[in-house]
Amino acid sequence: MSAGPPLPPDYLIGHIQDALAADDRSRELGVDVAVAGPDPRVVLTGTVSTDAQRQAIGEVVAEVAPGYDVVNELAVVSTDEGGAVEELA
Amino acid sequence: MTRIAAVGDIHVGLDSVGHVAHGLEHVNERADVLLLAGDLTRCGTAAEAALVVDELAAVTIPVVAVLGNHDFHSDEAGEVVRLLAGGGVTVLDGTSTTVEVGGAVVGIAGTKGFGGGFAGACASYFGERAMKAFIAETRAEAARLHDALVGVSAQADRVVALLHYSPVEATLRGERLEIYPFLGSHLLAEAIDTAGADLVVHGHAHKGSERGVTPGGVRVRNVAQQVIGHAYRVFDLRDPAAEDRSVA
Repeated sequence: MSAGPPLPPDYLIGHIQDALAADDRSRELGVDVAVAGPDPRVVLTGTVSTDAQRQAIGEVVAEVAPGYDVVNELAVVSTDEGGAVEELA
Repeated sequence: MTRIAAVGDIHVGLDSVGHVAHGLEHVNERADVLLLAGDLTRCGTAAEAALVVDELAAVTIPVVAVLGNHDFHSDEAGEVVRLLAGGGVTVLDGTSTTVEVGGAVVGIAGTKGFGGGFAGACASYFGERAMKAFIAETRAEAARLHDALVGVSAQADRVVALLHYSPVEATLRGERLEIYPFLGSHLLAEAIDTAGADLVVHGHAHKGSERGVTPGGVRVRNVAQQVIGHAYRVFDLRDPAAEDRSVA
């Protein structure tokens, strides 16, 4: 296949999500990936398990999307025990 | 009363040391049983399962779990179950168990579940082998859940269904509609409504909603840690019969 123009961002989103599922550093399906413009950047949102995983996901995406700025807006899940008790009669 | 702590999708990876244990420091005082609604591990490796056991070491109340899709990823599910069981976790797979709390017996029937979608917008047992296998898996999971619920109901005052996949759409609200068929199936709800239960807990849908109800009126709670925003949720499952006895 001959080299053509850059792929539309829709395919890049798919490739990033495949990489996040497959890469041992991330193994994550729950990340929302958006490609925003006019400057090329990838925006990541969602909630992951640890800060180390959050950082690793940013690294994986940077490798899959060279030339794009990665805006890592991922949150880390809360392990606070103070949630309300729900009474179920 | 029976206090049931429940959480799904803790996704323990090798970078999670101390993370889950920290969130469970007070669970022994706050609950009588801890339910884990699947995706205990990130990749389903034996090493991660061993770490889950380490993270649960200080939990002295009974721990009951089902596996989730992540726990199958490395094709080591048998070893994952063996390690969890060795660590004192009761792993349900189309099976049930009972926990006695203050004279009341709580039955827990659990299985992973699977996808397929919801009535009116679901996959059918039709076409390619892969598609038929997909729905056959869901049908089998639903049938095993039904039988486990029926079996445990005879021994229990209250019954909880423990799943990874969702039986209803309501607890998926917030997820993209297009992926609902990968998040749950109405066949699971039909099994629950046919067999009967007092509460359903599940995980899997990280961007979903906490509360729903089956068409037959059974309360459903999405306890994915990403949804509840806490280490776990506690449900106080009151037994009306026991309360009647205490009044008399």
